[in-house]
Parts: sequence; structure tokens; C-alpha cells
Amino acid sequence: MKMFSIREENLKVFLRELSLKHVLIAPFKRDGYFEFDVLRNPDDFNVNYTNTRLSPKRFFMPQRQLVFKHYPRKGFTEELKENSSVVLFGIRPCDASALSVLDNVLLNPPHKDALYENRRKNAIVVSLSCTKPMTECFCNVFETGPIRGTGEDLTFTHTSKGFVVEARTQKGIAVIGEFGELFREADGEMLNEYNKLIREVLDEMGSRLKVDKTRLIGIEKEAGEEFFQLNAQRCIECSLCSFACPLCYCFETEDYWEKDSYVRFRGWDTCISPLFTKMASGLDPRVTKADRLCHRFCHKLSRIPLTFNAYGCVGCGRCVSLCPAGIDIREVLRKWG
Amino acid sequence: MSSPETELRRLARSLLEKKAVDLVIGYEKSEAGVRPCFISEPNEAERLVWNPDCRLSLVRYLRGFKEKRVGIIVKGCDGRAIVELIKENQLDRRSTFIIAVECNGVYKPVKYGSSKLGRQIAEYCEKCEVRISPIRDHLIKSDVKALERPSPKNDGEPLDWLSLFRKCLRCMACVRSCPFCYCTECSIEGFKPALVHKLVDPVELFTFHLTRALHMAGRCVECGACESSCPVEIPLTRLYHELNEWFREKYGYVPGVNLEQAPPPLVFKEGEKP
Ligand code: SF4
Ligand code: SF4
Ligand code: SF4
Ligand code: SF4
Ligand code: SF4
Repeated sequence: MKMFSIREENLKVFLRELSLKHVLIAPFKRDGYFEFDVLRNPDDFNVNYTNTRLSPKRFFMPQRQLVFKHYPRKGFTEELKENSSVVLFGIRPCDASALSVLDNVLLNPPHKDALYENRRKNAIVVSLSCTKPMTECFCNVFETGPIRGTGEDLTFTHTSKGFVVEARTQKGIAVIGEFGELFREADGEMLNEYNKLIREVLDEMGSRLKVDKTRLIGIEKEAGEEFFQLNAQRCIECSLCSFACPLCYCFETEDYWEKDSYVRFRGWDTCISPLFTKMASGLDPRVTKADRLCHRFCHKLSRIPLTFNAYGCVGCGRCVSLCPAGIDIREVLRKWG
Repeated sequence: MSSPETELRRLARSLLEKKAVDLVIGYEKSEAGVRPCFISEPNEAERLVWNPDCRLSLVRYLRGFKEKRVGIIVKGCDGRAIVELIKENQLDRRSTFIIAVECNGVYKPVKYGSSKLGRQIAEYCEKCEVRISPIRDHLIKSDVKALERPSPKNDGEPLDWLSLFRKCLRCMACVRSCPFCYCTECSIEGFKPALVHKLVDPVELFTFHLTRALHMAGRCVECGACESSCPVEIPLTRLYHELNEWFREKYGYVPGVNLEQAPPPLVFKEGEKP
């Protein structure tokens, strides 16, 4: 879509004005790593952050979320509507793309997820391109970064002459319109630098990991393969890889009694947990760790693509870096990609 | 003298060749650092590495190989865990070949999106006085000098545990990496009855961590597996260390140093008051 630009020194002005009209969420340095939180003072924002330790998924699918309350004495059920309008600023392209994957999964009829939709439609997502990808990053494989993602309303890219700003959706155009005096059309020189940057960063990433993602569909046929058995030996069955992932969306619900009402909560769950497929009868269709590990990768790289026309991984590298046992999805990509 | 790594590989190879063990659990290099590996062919022994990134205790893996004879590479703290597990009847000493490597401390992990530069020795290693497993079948001395240890700090300001626990995702990485969390159904995860609600809520998080802390008092060997696995870097060993200190004062017991001394909770004394 249309390319704009904003001067370096105007970024803070933009952030300040945004924060007056919306709840502004941006990455912060905290206890030695970066985390999203409400940005009150634009001076706290540092363009040179890497990426946040935890994904921004929780702003759209909180780890624990109230679904409804039912008051038996009053006899009615209240469904929860949340109505906060947030701006997520400085989300990385991979994480923004994760939102577009979630949109494919959760916003398509007939199984629309009302809670997700509610939060998603009220949010403005502004991504900040990566000019220096981390060693764990492999967004190039899924074309979900490092400069442009697929789920954002605006994409900011840092160049030597300020930021190139691309409006990606109508929502994004509206934001530019709202703060029109801060933005100008991007000039040719800037765009040249921008295009050169895309090539350079992609080349660099491609030299680390280059696979054909369309071949990954075949992984499904390999179930029970030795690779998963070997890796299952080291997997400790925590749930960290899924909880850290920007697009693992499985949830479970829990009902209980609270003061005067029945409440239903829902929250994150994961197929890697040994409890995930265990049924009340004691039956478990996915008995071994290798089955579960295989399922996780098959689901991401084969079943999500076949069902929802998107990949279940955006290459953010969180699971790669955080897994205590060193299980590495890049090995799966190299093997089957 | 050969390097510890070479000696380690040679030993693992000969154990497997002689069929003295069915497999050796050690560390190998991975793209993202170092990770556990399970070696059953003599030729694969070349994969083994030894360096200050070998932080995750391998002891938790022993429970997956109860029918096998296992060679395992242990640091000082890991060896203490083995001592304690033997006392808790969780491990068959005869089917475990303990390869003790002299440990000079491990590095704190540098995780995703860390803003820290450079490598730092883990805090729990600064406090460690063991370094060599008290129980072993073979000792491999280290050739590197001890990592720079700042003189053991006193713990300074008390931590705000409530806000630290609020960061917890209940991902269970701490539980699953701990040598002592061998319960087949964790009380914190169980359904029947549910001690805590499964979905994360701040109060439940506190219950979770207090339950775990109480289960660790007088058992935790401060190996730091839990802490180094934690995605949000909650300094769990600091908490368990304090409980251990309390336990030592009250019962004169330090976990994992003496195979002969029974753990106080396992001993019944007539007339003993709670
Ligand atoms: S983070 Fe690693 S060890 Fe934990 S469940 Fe995932 S793959 Fe297994
Ligand atoms: S699977 Fe791993 S690398 Fe892929 S999106 Fe999820 S956390 Fe990121
Ligand atoms: S995976 Fe790509 S988009 Fe995500 S942080 Fe790394 S370089 Fe940036
Ligand atoms: S590893 Fe950390 S985040 Fe995960 S459950 Fe334990 S304390 Fe919580
Ligand atoms: S509680 Fe943590 S430090 Fe203590 S033994 Fe378990 S993993 Fe090691």
C-alpha cells in the first residue's frame, strides 16, 4: 500500500499523541529482557530492542480469560464483552504475522471466536522492522519478516533518514490521517534505501537457513519417525514452547463456583502436555512423548497449512531459544523443508 | 594430561564398548548452545561436550530409564541430587554409573531477547561448596581454572516474591527439569482433587510456588535446573536456598552430602512433636 515517512525526532511526538487517545503498549526493558507493557512515557521506548521475551499473543488471547458468569438465583447468564482499544507499537513483523495466522484460524465462520475477535478488532498493530535479526530468527522461511509482516496495520522501518511507514490496512491509513501533520510521503531516496535494506537482511538470513516451506506438508507422513523419538528423549514435557509461541492457540476451559455465580474461564493449554489428550476414561490417543512432539510439528507445518492456508510457525525463534532441552524446530525445517 | 572432554569421550566409549552400561546421558553441542544427549553407540561418544553451558541437570532423565544401566555425567550439585534420590528410594545405585566431572560453575543462560551482554556465572554456583559429586564411579578433573566467582554475596534486599510469582506462566519448566519432581501426578496439576485451579490466577500462582517450595525444603540441592529453565527468570533457587538454611538450623541436615544420614522427614522418632 502507500509509503509514508516520519522524521526520527517526530517518533516520540507520535507516540505521545497516540498514548493520549489510546492505551499504548510497547516493549520495555525489564529485569534484563524486553516485555510489552503500557507505555506512559515515550522516552522509555528504545528503537534498538531485539524482541520481547514473551510474545504479544496474550493481549489477544490472555493466559486466563473470563468467558461468562452465570447467576443461578438471578437466573441469567452474562457473556463478557471487553472493550478496550489498544495500540500495540513496536511489535516485530513475525509476531504481527502470527496475528494474521490467528485471524485465519479464529475469525473464519462457522467457528468464529468471539473473545478473540473482540480484542483483535479493537486493536491497532504497528510493527517495527528488524534490521538486525537475532541468531534465533528464521522469519525469512515463512516470509513473515524481517521487514514486513502480514498482520500489522502499519509497518515502521528504521532508515538513516527517519522511518519509512507503510500503511497496510484501512485502519493504518486512518491512523496516518489522524496524525497527518507528522507524516509525509516517502521520497525516492528513502525508498531506495528501504529496498536495499530488505535485500540485505533477507540475504543474510537466507545464508543461515533456507528451506522450501511448501515441502513441509510431507512431514505428516513421517509420524513415528526416529527423529521424533530421539528428540522426545530430551523433551521434559514442560509447556514452555507453546506458551512462548506467538500463535499456539489451544485452550481449555475451567468452571467453578465463585461467591454468587458459576464462572467459566478459559486459558492456554498445549498439545505437548501429557494431560492434553487424556480423557476421563483414562484413554489417551497420544500416549508417548514422541507422538506429542510429532503432533506439535505436524500440526504447525502440515495441518494448519492444509486447513487454514497459513503456517503454524512464523520463525520468531522463541521456542528455539527457551526450550530447556534444546529442541529446535529449525532441525525439522532442514530435514523436511 | 588430556582435556576433560577427551577423557569423557574416551570413558563413555569404553563403557559402551564393554557393555558396562546401556547408554550414557551427557551433553552435546546444538545450534542454540548445549543440550542433553543420549548415547548408546560407542562411536557416538565423540558427540559429548563439557563446558560451562552444561547447566541443565541430567538427573531428572534417570527416571525414564529405570530398566536400563545408565552412565550419567554429573556436576557437584547433580551428584548430590543422586544421593538424595537414592535415600528416597528412587534410584538403583547399582544400575547407575556416575561420571563425576569437576565443576567450576556454569553460566547463566542468555535467552531470547536478552538485553544482557557477556556471560555471567550463575548465582547458585557462587554459593556452591561441592563442585565434585560426593558419589561417583569415576572422577574427571577439570583443566580449566574455576570461573571467576565474585565473593559470595549476601542476598541483599529481600525479594518481592509476590510480584515475581505474578510473572510466572505456570509452564511447569521448573517442575519438569527438577530431579526431585518425580511424582507421576503433580499435586499442582492434578484434577482429583484440584489443589489449584489449572488456569493461571495470581492467588493460585502463590499456592503453586509455596507448595513447591515446601516440597523442596531440605531436599533441593540447588542445582539451578528450575531457575535456568524459567522463561521469566524467577530466582527460584534463592527461595529454596533460604528454606534449606532454615532446614539445616532446625534439623542439622544438608541434602545430598551424606548417604548415611537419613532425611529427617523419613525418620520417625518416638515422642517427636511436629
Ligand atoms: S519447551 Fe522443549 S522441553 Fe519443554 S515441552 Fe517444549 S520441546 Fe519439550
Ligand atoms: S514454533 Fe517456535 S519459532 Fe515458530 S512461531 Fe512458535 S515459538 Fe516462534
Ligand atoms: S523472527 Fe524476523 S521479524 Fe521476528 S524478531 Fe526475528 S528478524 Fe524480527
Ligand atoms: S519455569 Fe518459571 S514461569 Fe515456568 S512455571 Fe516455573 S516459575 Fe513459572
Ligand atoms: S528445586 Fe531447582 S535447584 Fe532445587 S533441586 Fe530442583 S531443580 Fe535443582
